[in-house]
Amino acid sequence: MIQTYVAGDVLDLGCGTAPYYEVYRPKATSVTCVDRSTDERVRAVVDVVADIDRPLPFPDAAFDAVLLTDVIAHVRDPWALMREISRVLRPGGRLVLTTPFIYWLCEYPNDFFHPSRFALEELCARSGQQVQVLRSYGGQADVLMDTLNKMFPTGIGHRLFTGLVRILDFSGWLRRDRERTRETYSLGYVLVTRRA
Amino acid sequence: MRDPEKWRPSRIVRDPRSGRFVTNRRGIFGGSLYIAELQHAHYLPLIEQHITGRVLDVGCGPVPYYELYKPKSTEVVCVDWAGSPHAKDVLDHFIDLNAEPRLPFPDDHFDSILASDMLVHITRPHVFLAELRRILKPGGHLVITAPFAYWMGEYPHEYMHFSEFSLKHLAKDAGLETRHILAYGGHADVLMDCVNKFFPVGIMNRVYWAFARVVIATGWPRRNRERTKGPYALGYSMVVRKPVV
Repeated sequence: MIQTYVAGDVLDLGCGTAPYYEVYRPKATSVTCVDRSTDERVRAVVDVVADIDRPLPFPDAAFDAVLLTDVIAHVRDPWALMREISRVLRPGGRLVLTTPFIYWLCEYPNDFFHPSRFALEELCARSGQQVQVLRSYGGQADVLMDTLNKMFPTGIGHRLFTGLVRILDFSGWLRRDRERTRETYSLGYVLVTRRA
Repeated sequence: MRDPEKWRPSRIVRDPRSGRFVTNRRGIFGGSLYIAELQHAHYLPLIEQHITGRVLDVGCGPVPYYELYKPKSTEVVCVDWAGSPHAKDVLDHFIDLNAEPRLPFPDDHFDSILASDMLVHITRPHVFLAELRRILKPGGHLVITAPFAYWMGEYPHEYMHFSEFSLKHLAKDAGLETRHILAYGGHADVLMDCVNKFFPVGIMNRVYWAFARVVIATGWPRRNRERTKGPYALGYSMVVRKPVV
């Protein structure tokens, strides 16, 4: 999705260490990385230090593409952020957003909203963006495996867990379960919108 | 409540021996046995304490906590939408809260409002909370319960999952004072609930429940919960108050 839709003048919002930079760089004519973090590794890649809970420090229609990966959960007012994204996007510009749904509070305590597919659609409708792609990822078995994984982040437990996942993956259970439960038990979503 | 004669217990029943309210295992979805026990231990005392006087039960479903707050209430108004899958004889008003955000009640009307596990179905929670504030009397209480690391039980009518931090901000922005907010469940409980959802019916549901009781008896979920209910909350309960000006 990032490779296909993120091109031209790119705004990487809440970029962190800009992990997808190499993915979108070939198609980008300019890249602006924005984050509020004071972390040194983040500061090294950031072009503009800004709190994305506040109006964005860019003029109207300044970008062709906005990338918002696993950021919207950490924003106090996602409705306002989506309006701001619409403002800084050129007509026809794209937003590529990823966000977790049935998932723990990452970066606790800075975690506010986990939007479902329907909340994402609602956010787009209210901010003048058309949904182009909206896919859920993960299902019930994946939520279960992710929850287990978080209990065994390191050491021998982690190795045993990894082994279990390989076996379950090989058995095809994870994939079959995902087909059945992807909508009611989504781990998260990938959304691409087009600015109207 | 339009027709109290038609009301039936759903999620909880009074245990005839102890006189206390307990989870009604026959009245709930089999995939929710585990979470129901946790929720009830957590919310019932709050509902009993704060839902009093002239009560609005908004997004009430089958009005599961009616018997619990009835002794302390003087009037009970039940609101849900026509698409609700639950019994409708008890509803006073059929309102689609997303289509008609203005509720048909005057300002400063209710002593208390219960919004139990329904905020997830609301498209614009800030608008909704501001409206609840309007119809609440100054000093009146609103009790909110909301799941977090939880599936979409009423797909497709599911919008945001709120963390304790967004709940606090939403209340503050609506002009409500947070008196109390607590997470229920933790990492182990999210895991146990997810397993429960694989076995909602039949013999496997019984096997699951026997297994869950053993797990609960070991004390592991309780110990784990204390440590993990911040980042791994299964859900929240919250009591907010309209300020007395």
